[in-house]
Amino acid sequence: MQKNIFVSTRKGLFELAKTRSSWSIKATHFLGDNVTLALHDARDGTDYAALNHGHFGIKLHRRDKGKKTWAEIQSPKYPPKPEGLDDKDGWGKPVNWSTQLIWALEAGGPKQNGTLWCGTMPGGLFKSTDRGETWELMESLWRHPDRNKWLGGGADIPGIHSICVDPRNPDVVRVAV
Amino acid sequence: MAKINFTSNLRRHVDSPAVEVSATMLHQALQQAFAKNERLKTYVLDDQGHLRKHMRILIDGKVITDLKAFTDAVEPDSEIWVMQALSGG
Repeated sequence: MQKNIFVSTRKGLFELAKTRSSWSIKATHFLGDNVTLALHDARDGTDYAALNHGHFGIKLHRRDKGKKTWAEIQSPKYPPKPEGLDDKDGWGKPVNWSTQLIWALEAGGPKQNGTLWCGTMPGGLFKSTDRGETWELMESLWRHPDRNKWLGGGADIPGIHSICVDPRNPDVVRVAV
Repeated sequence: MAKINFTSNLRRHVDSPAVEVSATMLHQALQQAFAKNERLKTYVLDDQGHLRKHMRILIDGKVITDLKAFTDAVEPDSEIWVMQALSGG
């Protein structure tokens, strides 16, 4: 039985296949670009890759099942920051309402085709119900007063690094900051 | 007409041809350039519509000063360059 894994690196995305005794590179994607993570959605066979282009920002790409090419899709986008809002993180630094990293990407429940969850820096949790065509910021978490106490762990700014969709009830989603 | 040129490094990722615009302020020029190319906009501006941290815009050789509202003046024959700042380490 052949098994595949994605390896996301700062120099590209590598698709590895396991043969009887070893792993080998089956395909290389985004060569030279910083791929921060990849997701294979087992529900419909779609693949997703998050890229950090540095100067040019955070981008998200999708590859449909059986296809060789990727297409850029909408990245999670923060709403306009209200004028005059004094929004600071746990370090007291102003929060930049702009996606600075896609740090977690998870599929929704088995019967929620097209639903994706995305954790970002500076701490926004986003949900898509259309395979990443559009994203909605989970305002209930973003506007939670505790967010202003969040600190960056291993980074300068806070972020959502883990998302767990409860397999018993996919309406229950747990995140770690 | 004024002309907006984009760094060639953008072409790896997104279609970014030079664009001729009719504008007296930079935000008008950018609006025209991005009107038919929404993807290009996301490579130059952040979620708040401000210039990305490591991008720079020059008008006739001078770096612009308003990185948020883009109120810098544009002349009818201005050359506008959207570049990336040098960085590294």
